[in-house]
Amino acid sequence: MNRLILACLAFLVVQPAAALQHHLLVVSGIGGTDDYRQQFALQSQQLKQAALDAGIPRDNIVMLADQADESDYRPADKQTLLRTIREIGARAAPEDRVFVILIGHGNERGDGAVFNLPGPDISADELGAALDQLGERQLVIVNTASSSGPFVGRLSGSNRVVMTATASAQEFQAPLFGGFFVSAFVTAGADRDKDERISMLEAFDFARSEVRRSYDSSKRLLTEHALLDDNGDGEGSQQPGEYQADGALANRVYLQQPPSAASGAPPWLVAMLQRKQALEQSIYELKRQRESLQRRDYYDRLENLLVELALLTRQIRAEGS
Amino acid sequence: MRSLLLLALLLCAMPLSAATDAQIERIEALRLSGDYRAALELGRAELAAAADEPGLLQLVGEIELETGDLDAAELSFRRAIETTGDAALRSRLTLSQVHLQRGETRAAEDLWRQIREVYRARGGGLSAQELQAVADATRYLGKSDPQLFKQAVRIFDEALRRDPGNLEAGIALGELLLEKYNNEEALQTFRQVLSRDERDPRALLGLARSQHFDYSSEAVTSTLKALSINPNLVPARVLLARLFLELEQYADARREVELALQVNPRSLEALAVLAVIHRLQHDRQGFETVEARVLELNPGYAELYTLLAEMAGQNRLYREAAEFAGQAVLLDPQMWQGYGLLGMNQLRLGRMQAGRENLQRSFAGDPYNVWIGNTLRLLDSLDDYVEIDQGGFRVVMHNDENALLEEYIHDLAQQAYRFFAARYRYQPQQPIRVELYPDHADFSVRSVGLAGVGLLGVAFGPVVAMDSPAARERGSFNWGSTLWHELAHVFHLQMTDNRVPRWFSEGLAVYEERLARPGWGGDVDPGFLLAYLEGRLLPVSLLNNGFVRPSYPEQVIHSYFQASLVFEFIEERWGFDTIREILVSFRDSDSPQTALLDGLQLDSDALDAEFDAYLQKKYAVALLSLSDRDKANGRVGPTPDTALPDKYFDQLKVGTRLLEQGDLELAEPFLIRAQQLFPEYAGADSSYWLLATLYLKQQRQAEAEAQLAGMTAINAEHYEAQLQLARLRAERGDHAGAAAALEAAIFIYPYDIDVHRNLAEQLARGERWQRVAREWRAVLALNPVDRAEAHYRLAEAYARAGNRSSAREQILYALEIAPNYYQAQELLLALRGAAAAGTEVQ
Repeated sequence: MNRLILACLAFLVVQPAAALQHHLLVVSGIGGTDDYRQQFALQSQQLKQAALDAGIPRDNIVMLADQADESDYRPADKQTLLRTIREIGARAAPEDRVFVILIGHGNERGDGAVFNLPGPDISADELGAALDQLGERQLVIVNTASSSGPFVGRLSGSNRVVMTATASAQEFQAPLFGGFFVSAFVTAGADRDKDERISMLEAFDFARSEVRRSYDSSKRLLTEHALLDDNGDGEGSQQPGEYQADGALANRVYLQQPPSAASGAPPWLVAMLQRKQALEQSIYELKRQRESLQRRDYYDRLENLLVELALLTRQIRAEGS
Repeated sequence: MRSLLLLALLLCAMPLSAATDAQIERIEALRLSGDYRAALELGRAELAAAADEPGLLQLVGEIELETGDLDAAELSFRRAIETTGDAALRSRLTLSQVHLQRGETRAAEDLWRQIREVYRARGGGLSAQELQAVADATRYLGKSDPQLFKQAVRIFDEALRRDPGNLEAGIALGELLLEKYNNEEALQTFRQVLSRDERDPRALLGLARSQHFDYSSEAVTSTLKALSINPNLVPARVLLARLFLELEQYADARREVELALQVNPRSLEALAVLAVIHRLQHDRQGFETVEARVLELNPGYAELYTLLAEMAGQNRLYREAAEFAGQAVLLDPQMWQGYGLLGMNQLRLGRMQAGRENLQRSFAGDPYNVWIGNTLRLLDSLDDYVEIDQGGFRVVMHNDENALLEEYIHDLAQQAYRFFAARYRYQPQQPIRVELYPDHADFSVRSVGLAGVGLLGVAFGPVVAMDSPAARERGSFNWGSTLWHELAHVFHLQMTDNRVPRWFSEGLAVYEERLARPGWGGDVDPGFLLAYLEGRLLPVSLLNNGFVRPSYPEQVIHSYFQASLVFEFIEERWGFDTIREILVSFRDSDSPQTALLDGLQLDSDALDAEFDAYLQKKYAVALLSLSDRDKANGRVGPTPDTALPDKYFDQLKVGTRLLEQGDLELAEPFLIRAQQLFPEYAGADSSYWLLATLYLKQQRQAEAEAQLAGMTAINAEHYEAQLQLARLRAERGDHAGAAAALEAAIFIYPYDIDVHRNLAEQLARGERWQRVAREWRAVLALNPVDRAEAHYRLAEAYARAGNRSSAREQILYALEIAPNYYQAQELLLALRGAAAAGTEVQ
């Protein structure tokens, strides 16, 4: 019961009986050297484990790799990638979320960029066309490769969170972003709002900060600038935020699989969680009005909501135990 | 018949003209060697024979000018002008110099304009000498129109193209370049002249002035060389007097000035320096007499006051410097240097607005002044700084640093104030302004007006300026000890009305650092003791030279440390009260050296001898182990078998090499022995650090900790050593000790967020909640990724410290970022509960 409660506490939305499912596709592109192959393999494995820990069903996780070390890995060629996306499209319900993570190298080509695969590379247009077949489903696409910036423009859309490791195709050095993005899910420090889960925005911010810290500490000029776009305007932001042009959607999307009716949440818990969700929404709305309120009034009102939320959380935990 | 008469006249004239040229040369030679009397006698005799020979008149007039006989000089120049007419450009120029000497500025300006008019009319038809006169006139007029200086340079160049052998033009060009702060080219120009005639005393003087501009000790050498050729060269005597003044050698300075005045009793420059000497020696009557004499000779001689201002400023008498500069500009509203000196000194006194305005005036009139230009740019950048008043201090910091550093600076400054006020039984005027510059170039400009100065901090009395920790590479300086040092200066300067000798205040300030915290205040290194063994350290009586005119690169650093040892010696032998009494006596003393010796009741030789004995005793073992260094290490690379057991370098070298090779067991005894031979040395390459490294490799934590503790007790500046020490102490459960090491690390580099976190944790173990709170405030100032956690920890610390309202504020900030932050929620509820019950949070 405790785990159920904690899991439910972790969510804004109490799910209906037939809850949405998460699907994860991790594509580990061509490494080129042993070091990169090992690095990409490690990141893939860590992501897979994080997804399993987040409750994503194993059948919903597909791993593509240049040199597959495990039997359930598929080859990462373009044909297999496009076929896999079609399969996800066929399998996933309309309300399901799909995460596509590209780990590897990229380069500029023509007016845009490509992601390097064994055999023919895949361009942003080609990937975009394949993902468009997923319809209105909520998509999270993360391209951790060099020269990945142009992928934002093509993959941006409504109900999509798109991240790239670089701001342009000209940032061709191997970026550090991908490693830190994965680290957000496996190490401490990324959960800024302390809700015991990592949103896509938190993961992006963590990775961006760690990239900067890494460059600063080695006194190098920053040559990679990650982007996040989630408002569908095709323009990524380097500093998205909950209340900025980009970031609001990413702040509410988590890797964690929401609990389903099968987990047996009791009615009192459902009611409390709904109340909790309402309080969180009230806090969110109050924060949006911050600039227009007197400081004292704002913090008094915030405190009242927070106290109520704290009492409710305590009660949920107490009832659960 | 007529032809014969003409021929006869011609024949008579020819031998006379030839004789005059030769005699002119002879007179010139006498002049260059300084035998002005003989030169004048000969010149006047020749004039009597060859009346109104313009060349002769000009030369005689110039000698009369140099020796101060202005009336005679004027007559000679006027006669030359009458004889030559329009072509007498040089005579017009030198006549203008007579007018300038008398303060007849209008008359001088008329002559310059006349000269330039001839240039405009005749353009390319002028001789090299005439062009030189035009260039000089243009230079003088540049005071009202700074663009004319560029023209002056072009015309000098033209003169030199006409006659590359014209040394005077070269020297004048060099002087102009120097006047306009282009010392690099000025130096080149003087050297070019000297390459044609290495014994030209005026060129040597120009070189000396150029070297003085760069604070080079070679200025003295060049000046003395000029005087060896012409011992009566008044400007050289005046320069030498100034050089002595900078060393506070007033008797020597006075001697030089008097020699100058014997040659030219009306030399305004020499009289001005004499006025300075009287002033610095508190001889009010002597000063007023000389001042009156100067103004009698030239009522508009504002340069008297600019010199007084300059020398007062160099002697750290900033208030007086500002007053004198003010008088200069009252006397001459176009005295741009005066405005500059006024502005700079007002800034040093903390009068920022007035200072800026006067610097702007100065720069408008003289846009070539690099110091003023740099300082104005710096003042513009102060818009990015914030001023915070607290506890008698006004701390000025860059906006980017303020949140982090403010508390630390204020805390330490107030600690220092309380400590010094009790120790010196004196309270300086407040607020004391402390400025921190994250860009070292900005600090350099603030302190001397130029980028690139090697200081870390400077105190002007009520104002301290220093590098912020961000200005330097991590580990290269300790901002805490620097601030402590500069605040000690504030006390010393104000107690003595800024009359404390440089070496005294520097030595005492370093000594105060050593007393403030273990490991502060510099420590002995092999270089210092080797300098001692080689006889390069200065006696106490000449220590000022080590700061003002170092004779080898490390002498400044050695002088700081040596001076601090003098105070260690004095306090051990006589007690601190004696030091304080000597300090107080400087205020009214006209001889700092006498005040010192009177206070110690020793003569100079005895003081030097006793201090020497003190040094010998203090470092007896180390001196022995470092002596005969060349002999001991003259052979190629000591080995474990050949290393001499009583020689520090042998033991250290062998131990270091073995450690690098990984032979830890073999290395250890050598490094231990090195430490026994020189236990006082704890630098980055010392036995302490090497042994700590060795023991850590061997997992011998306790021994490593002992080495690091020993090291940092002598040298607190080693950042990594402090962090390692903190880690070892924390592992052993010595949280207070770990905290102490981390605090010491923050005095070196406060920007490492993990150090502040770690320190907060260690302090929390000791329940020092106020300090815990400070560390979490520092974490927040460093913009952590996890701000919610930092706010929560800060709230917790406040709550534990009983500061409920601040705890509430911080917990709301934490929950604002992370509404579901469980621990923060619980703290909020606890605070509410405690508030309702009127209790403290547990």
